[in-house]
Amino acid sequence: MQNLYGARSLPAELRHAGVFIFSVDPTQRHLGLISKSDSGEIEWLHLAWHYFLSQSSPEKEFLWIDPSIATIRLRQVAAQCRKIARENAIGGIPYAFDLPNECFDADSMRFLAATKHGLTCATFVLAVFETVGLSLIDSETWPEREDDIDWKSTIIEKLKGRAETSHIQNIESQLHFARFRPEEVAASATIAPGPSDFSSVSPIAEEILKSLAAIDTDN
Amino acid sequence: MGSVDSALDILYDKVDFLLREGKLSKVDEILESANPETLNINIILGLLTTTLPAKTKLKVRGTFYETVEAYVNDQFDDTAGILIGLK
Repeated sequence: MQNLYGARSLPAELRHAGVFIFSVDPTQRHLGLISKSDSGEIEWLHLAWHYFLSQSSPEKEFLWIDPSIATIRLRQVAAQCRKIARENAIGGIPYAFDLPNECFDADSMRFLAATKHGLTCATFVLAVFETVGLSLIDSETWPEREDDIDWKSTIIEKLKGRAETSHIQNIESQLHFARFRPEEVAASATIAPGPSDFSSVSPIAEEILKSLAAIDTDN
Repeated sequence: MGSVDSALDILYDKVDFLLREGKLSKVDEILESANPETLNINIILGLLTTTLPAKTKLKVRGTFYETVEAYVNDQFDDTAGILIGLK
């Protein structure tokens, strides 16, 4: 895969914006966005947890993807990252399983739209690209998988006690929404501009998982 | 931060503010006065990007897009991907 890179530090080759991914543990990956300004300043943006939009760099070795998107458009992705970071520095974005479409409210002009309950780390990345006109995936081709329902149930349990009861009730109704796994979203960026269907993304996602496993083995 | 990125940050905040305030005619004025031949292409794409959520509400955005499309086709060798998703 030509546009997938391993890194322990800041990716000097970054063209304005990219996607990073690392393993949290053997069963969980985390995904986010990197952007670089003209002065070379690197910024990180990722939905770390419920109302926790983080701008911290990963604390462990990660992979990063140079999206298959025109450089001139990646500059707009970077600008949107900075805008969302400015807007959501306080308050943040809730954690839920909404689809990553129409996250920019056309009436209030706010991200996240009031009609949305929240995003995951992966759908946050999809949503940012979508707000600048770049749809990475064809969400209708994503399958419903039993182990994704298990994963969502685990997340809901972790949110209990941290999120309001109404939020828990809302996301419990999203158990059967398609899940876009971090490695799948990372894979979709390698074949952008999309939207890419599940069958195109899936084999690349497997390669990314193997690369992440190799990193973890080396460390 | 470089001048283009700084200009984009100001543009994103300004257009966003005007759209949130419902000042659509003001945004239309900006689009009407924006000339792809004299403005930096990144600013032109910034205008198309920031107005994307309001594309059905802005009167001149469609015409502005067509003007930009003609400019891009004339000035760039590899036009694929430059305007994708911005119509």
